[in-house]
Amino acid sequence: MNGYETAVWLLVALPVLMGLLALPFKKKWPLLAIVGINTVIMTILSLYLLTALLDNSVGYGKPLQIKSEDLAVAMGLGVEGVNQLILALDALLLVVFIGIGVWRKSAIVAILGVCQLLPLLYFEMNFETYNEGGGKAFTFALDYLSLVFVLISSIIGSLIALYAVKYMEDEHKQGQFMCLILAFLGVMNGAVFSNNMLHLYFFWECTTFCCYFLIAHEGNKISLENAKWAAEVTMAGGAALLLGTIMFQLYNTRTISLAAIVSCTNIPGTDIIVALPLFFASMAAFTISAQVPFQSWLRGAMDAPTPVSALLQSSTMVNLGVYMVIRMAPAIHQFPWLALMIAVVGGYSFVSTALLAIHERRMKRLLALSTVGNLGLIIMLAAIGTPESIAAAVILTLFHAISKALLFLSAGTVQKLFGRNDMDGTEGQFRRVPSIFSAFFIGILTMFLAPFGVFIAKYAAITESASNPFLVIMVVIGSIACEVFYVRWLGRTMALTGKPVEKKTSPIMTYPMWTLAIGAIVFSVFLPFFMASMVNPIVSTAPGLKASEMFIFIQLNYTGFIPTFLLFVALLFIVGYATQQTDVRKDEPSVAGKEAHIAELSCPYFDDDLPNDEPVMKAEAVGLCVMVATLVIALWAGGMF
Amino acid sequence: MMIGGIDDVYLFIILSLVLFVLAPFLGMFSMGLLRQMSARMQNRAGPPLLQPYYDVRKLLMKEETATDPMIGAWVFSFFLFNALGVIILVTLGDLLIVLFLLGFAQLSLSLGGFAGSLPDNHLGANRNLLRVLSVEPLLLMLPIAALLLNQNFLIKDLAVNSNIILYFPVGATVVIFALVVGMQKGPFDLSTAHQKKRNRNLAELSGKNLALVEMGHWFERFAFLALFSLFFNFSGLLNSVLNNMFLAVILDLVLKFVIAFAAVLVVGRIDNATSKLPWDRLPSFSFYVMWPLMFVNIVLVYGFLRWDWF
Repeated sequence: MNGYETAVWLLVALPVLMGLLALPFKKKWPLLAIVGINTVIMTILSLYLLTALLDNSVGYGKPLQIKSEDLAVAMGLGVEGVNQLILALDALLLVVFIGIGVWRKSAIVAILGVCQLLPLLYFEMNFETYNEGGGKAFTFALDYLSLVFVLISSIIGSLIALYAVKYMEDEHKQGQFMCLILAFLGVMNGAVFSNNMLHLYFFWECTTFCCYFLIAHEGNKISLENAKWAAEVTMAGGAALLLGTIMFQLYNTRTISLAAIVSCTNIPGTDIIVALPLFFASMAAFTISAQVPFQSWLRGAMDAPTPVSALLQSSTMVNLGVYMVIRMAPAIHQFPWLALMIAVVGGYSFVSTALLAIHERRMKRLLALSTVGNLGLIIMLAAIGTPESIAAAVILTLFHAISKALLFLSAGTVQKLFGRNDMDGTEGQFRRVPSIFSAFFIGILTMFLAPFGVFIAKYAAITESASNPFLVIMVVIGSIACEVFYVRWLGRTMALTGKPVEKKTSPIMTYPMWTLAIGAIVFSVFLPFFMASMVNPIVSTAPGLKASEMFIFIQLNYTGFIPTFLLFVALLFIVGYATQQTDVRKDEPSVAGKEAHIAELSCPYFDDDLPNDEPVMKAEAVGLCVMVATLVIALWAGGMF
Repeated sequence: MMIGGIDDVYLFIILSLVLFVLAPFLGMFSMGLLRQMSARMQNRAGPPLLQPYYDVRKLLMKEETATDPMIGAWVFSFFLFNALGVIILVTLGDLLIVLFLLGFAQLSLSLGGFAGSLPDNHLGANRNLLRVLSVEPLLLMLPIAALLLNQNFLIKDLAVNSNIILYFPVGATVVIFALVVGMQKGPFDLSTAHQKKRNRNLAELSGKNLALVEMGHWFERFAFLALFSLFFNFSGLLNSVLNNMFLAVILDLVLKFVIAFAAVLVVGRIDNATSKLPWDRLPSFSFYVMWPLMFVNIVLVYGFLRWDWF
């Protein structure tokens, strides 16, 4: 094994091993040491992989192959050992799921487990799963696209793990919690590196497993219900993925190697059965990325501890679906009806969650809705399938991960300090903790403002979705609604009222937040460099897409981004200065001689605090209709009936 | 009010500069004109045309009594982003960036309101947000139109395209609605409703900060009117008649001034002829009437310009 092969294997195995190491500990400091070492090693390894790629011309269809033979022989397993090991683990995992289903009285989980176990075993027995095109010998594949996701899960995920150590210090079963968190990073890396779709499926099930126990960590009735629901939805996605995998082998490309699937752009025939595996894979992506008909599990996951929400939503779990859609974009693009369906579902998720979030006053719920929306936008961009839109999808994934992790950590810290999870609880006091408030402020600004990555991706989204009026209008309305709900949240933290209260923050909590805040700004400054070195190789090698020579959709000119950027730097300084002035208001504000309460008087407009989830249910129902209707219309327009 | 089709760099810079210097005054005149107009229609003498200027001059001489530097920061941001939006507008830059900057200026004003701790401030700030939500998607129709007709967002190319009003007649109507709401005139004068004398989300402002808000509004008005006038471009037409680009551009600018003036008159007329509506009519009117209108127009143009939707 050469250097980068070792690095890839370590990135998958090390977090899991470190997690197992953390299992018996119950105190903060040993856990902190383990997580700290893990963070340093994962950061160094993922950055090292970046240098490994710079020397090689890798791309969509021709990744750097990471062979498993050496490792398998070293472990005494024989040449095919790793594959067999993964299959055995997969079967074991499904048996565990069936057990969970029986134990927690969830018929759906149990039935889904059985429904996956039997076909999996049958398939493994009866088909030679690697053949031409795929490359028989390699397990993992490394290219720029997987590296972007690995960087996200390794670095941002590790920072969240660091934060979790402090956040969970007073809770029970800390060792188990940190074990799951660290293992999550490993299996996410494994899923992203996988070239064999069965391995991807295995790691998918692993994320479902970790997700279940993380959400169920608190052990009360609500969290168990939420965990069960999350497991049911994502296992349904897993079943769809397995079905898609088997159909790839039987009907489509005759191989389940991802590299072969995406580079096989001239599949014979336009028969609907050829497109079905891609359809099932994209349905699986919808469930795990929580797109609107399936988004309810993510809202349930919000009741889990904040590090779990942050990890699931910014850097790991939901990114897996996005990764799959971006990865398969060249293949999806051969079937315009499928691409249209995926794009419309993504666009609808974006606009509906943005409009719903305007009413939301619980911070984590708002962030959950915004995550669904941003993932929808990414999926839409990937499905549109022009080089620019795929590039924008990659950029949006990266910047969304950074900013969203930052916002989650801010919300969690605030919850820890003030003991409230809604905006009202922090009103008038948030600014009195400048170290948290400034990071939160940067997080909000980078989520929607001009020179930062998310805005640039939205700019590209408007340009690229212009091929379809429905998409472009959804993007426009969604973008404005996003601005409005972020500003509303920021606004609710602006006022200073009440008596100053001394609040202490721990450096273990503020350090990850400030790393993310600085990272968001630095990445925005170096965006052109990032695009040239990492995004361009992804796009220019995507098979079946017309490679654009001059790949610049950002007009870095005197009338565009440069003045905007300078102005925002100025703004950051101005508001940063104002942020430090927290002792200006000495007296309580009053109206007509009475003490004024902002929360009671000010907000009849957006805060008709939704008594139940009825609007969300409506949005989901409409989303389902939109999905089916688009599918039918697109199929009809594509001449499939 | 845009200059398009001028190749000479120096001429372009001079014209842009002239427009930028004129911009706040034109915005100010439009405000004075509206007040004068409603006074005439109500048989009052009304304030002089330069009253906004006198107001600001007086405010600038007042003593500063800021309660919280955060409010000042956001008010400054409001002024700054409006001015930058106008700079990019008169230098014919990226339309989407212009609209973004103007939109962010509005959001800054809201944030300034939120930074105050009086309930009134928050009331006004929330209403301002509601206004942004209702109107900004309609204004973003203009960049979409630019994208469809020219394949980019540059005002430089849009300002010489005389087809836009033919393709987007509904768009121009929708933008009139956006003007009415944007200028905070009836029937949808959300953020200044109830008590005209006290601009609600600015209740804690005084002196120079309030003057900054007023001057920011001048730029904003100019930008709104200029965006509306972008629907009417005659320079190409005039050039083919006159065979002189410079003359055509100047005449085009004059025509745009006339159109902007007419738009102000229309807004004033609507303001005085309609009764004020409760705040929740604006979002519902916007969602159920204006957004669908915009949508229908865009879909029709798609059908007309290109059949392949994907």
